[in-house]
Amino acid sequence: MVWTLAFAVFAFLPMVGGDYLLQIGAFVAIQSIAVIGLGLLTGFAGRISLAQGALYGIGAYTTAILVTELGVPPLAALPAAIAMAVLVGTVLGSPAIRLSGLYFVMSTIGLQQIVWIVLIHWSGLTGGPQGIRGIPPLSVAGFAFDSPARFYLAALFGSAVSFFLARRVVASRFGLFLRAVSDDELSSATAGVHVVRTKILALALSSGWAGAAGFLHAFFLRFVHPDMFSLELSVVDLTMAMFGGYRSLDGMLLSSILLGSASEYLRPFGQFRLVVYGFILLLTMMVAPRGILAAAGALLRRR
Amino acid sequence: MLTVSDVHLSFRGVRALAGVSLTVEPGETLGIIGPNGSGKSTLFNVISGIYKPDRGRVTFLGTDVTAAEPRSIVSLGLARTYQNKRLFGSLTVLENVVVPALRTQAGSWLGDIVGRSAGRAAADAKARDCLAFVGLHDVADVQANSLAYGQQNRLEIARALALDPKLLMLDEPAAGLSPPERIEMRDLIERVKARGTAVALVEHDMRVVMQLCSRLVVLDHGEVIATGSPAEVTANPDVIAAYFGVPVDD
Amino acid sequence: MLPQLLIGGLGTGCIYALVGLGFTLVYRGMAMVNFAQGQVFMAGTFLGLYLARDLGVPAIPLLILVPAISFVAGALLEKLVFRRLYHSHEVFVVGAIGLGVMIENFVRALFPEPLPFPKIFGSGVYRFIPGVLFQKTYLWIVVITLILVLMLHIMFTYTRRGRALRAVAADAEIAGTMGVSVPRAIGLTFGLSFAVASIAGVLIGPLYFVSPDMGDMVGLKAFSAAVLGGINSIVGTIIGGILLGVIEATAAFYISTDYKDVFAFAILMLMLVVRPHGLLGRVVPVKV
Repeated sequence: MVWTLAFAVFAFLPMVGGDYLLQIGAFVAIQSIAVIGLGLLTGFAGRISLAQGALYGIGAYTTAILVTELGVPPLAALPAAIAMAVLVGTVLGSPAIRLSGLYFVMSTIGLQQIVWIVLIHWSGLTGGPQGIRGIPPLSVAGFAFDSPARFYLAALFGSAVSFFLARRVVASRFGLFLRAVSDDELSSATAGVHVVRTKILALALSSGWAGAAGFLHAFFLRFVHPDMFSLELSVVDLTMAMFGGYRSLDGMLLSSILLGSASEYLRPFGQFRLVVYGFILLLTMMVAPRGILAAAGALLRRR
Repeated sequence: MLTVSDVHLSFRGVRALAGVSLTVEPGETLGIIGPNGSGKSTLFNVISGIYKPDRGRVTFLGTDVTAAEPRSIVSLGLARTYQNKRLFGSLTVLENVVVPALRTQAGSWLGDIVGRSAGRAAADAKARDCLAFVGLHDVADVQANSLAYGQQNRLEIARALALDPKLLMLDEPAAGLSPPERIEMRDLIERVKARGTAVALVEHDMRVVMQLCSRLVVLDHGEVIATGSPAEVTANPDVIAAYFGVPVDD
Repeated sequence: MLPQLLIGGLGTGCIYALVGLGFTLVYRGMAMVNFAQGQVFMAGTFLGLYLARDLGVPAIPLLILVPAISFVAGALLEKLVFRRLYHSHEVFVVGAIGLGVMIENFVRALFPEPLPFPKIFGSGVYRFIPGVLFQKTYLWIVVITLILVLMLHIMFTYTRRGRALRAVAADAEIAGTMGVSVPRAIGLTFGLSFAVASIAGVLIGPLYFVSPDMGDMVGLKAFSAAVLGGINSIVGTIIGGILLGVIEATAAFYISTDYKDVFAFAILMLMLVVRPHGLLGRVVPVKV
């Protein structure tokens, strides 16, 4: 309810904000999709991944290649972007998902780096270090989202859809199994839960969300480059998912907004702005390991 | 219905089970007793598929389940509880029981996303029945972590009952309970028996064991040292030696 | 060509081994992965740069001073920071990443441009084998790595404190009941992990221009090396590091320079699935 209202309020941003603000808004909205997807895996399945940026990149590159090289209509690239991300994420991620959490995160670093290196070097397909330029604007049935305000609204819509869909997933029996597995794998198995299948499904969904974010990202700057999808993006996504709150989609949305726009309000710190960013993360993990929302909730209850 | 034959298991050279054989008949209540470290919990872990034995066979209702996954053993009708309480701590009490109750319900998670499916509602109803059976219906919406110790034992049992077991294996259900709670627990197990469910019970409290079990198996150092009725077993010199650490004669 | 490749691979491999040791020491002690390790390595380089270039400290004192300062920094950070992240491995990973971001960007604010590092080990070349060049810096890298490994071995095997560390790594609870000061041992572990990584930073400095992002890739490669050899085994990590260095050098030459970096990560993923405890690590049984 609160978030329905919030999305509605954010829809009026073009009336007050300039193009620059709208660009940041669009970026935050797109980012939030990938973060929510990662949250399904991190918060609910207890498996943290540092490959979300790579899967995001696969969604973006799939979209870029389909619309520029093959002339596919923009919207038709969405299912392809999601499917490619799911395919890569699931095929390369599931062998390790049976392992303990720490081993899984180790293997996602490998996945992230391999995808990134392939994006840089497979010039024939990806344009290599040149990236892919000339992506047309996102358009649906002849209507082009070609101004910052229009694209912002499209990204906001995407974010809202992904958020409410994720809420339904978490509320479904699969969401219940995920939480059970994350609490105790062994007793989940003896309670009849298919543990491995549940974890692989979480991985697939989380990859799918990343693919959808990548789809929007391709139309954001209408240019894709391998360095947009490096380990740094995965780190940003993971920290957003963890910063907001353990098992809280609300927290993840909130932290996407707070951290996604951080580069703006940290501007006064000049060249030390990323030092401050790192400090915020570190401090949050030290004093609020379950995320800011859980910490705020605990603080309120204590009053 | 359950046959364990000549099961051996060692951990890094340490012998945990050395040729254990036993059977559980339909509807009976078998007590498994023995000193600490005699292999009772290890035996449960082998039967429920968590450990694979080095040697020997486990069959349940005619199916060989020696190398089976825990989940498929569950679906044959064999449920268990854990001595060290492995609840889903962050879930509510009701959700803890809904998870196993969903096993036999129709529908899929995709259906749940579109609307509230019938299977989900049925699982909820079944879970509430199980909670009522163990007497936890008024704490259904409490987070499982915050339950009192005695309530956690009963939630473990409710969770296992939601799987519709033909054989229920209870790992020290009365451990750590106060005397009145023990009586309640004994009554609860009596009611489980009355449903026709076979029970295999590991328990230290001999009074609970004597009152509930028709037959006992005594383990010591991973071996079965005695089998029989409670009266026979308690009179057995080997059993007395195992418990008190002194050979009775010789 | 092969001998030349092997020498290059051995040099890089020693760097991976030393940075990887930082991961291993912390993993053995805490079952946590410190993803700021690459940045610690980089900070060691820049500390060395400052001491050597601006204060004129020569090679040998530099190789004592930098790890000494890093040791203190590591022990201090454990007390002030890492200790508050033991909540879960997820929290530790993200917190350590936050620390890494801080270190890297702090150094970047001070040294925005890539810089040449003084040739503290000289710039000569040896020709032990005809046709094969052996840069002096590589010789230093290999010799110092050997000395360090020997020192660590002696410490862990023969000194009281080293045995205490091993006891904590095996089982902190039991070590605590046997009278080992666990917090102190953990502080020492972090100090050591910082010290070895910072030495690697000094050793590699003269080979390249140094820049604040130099720790990112080396950190990840060193981590892969540790997993390859066994992230809970010190000997395994050293062998894993050297093996990875050699594999990379030869694969870059014989297979593809473009995809040279893929090998480390492909090995990482493969090892985790096939043999997560690494070539030499021990299997930790699951407790029920």
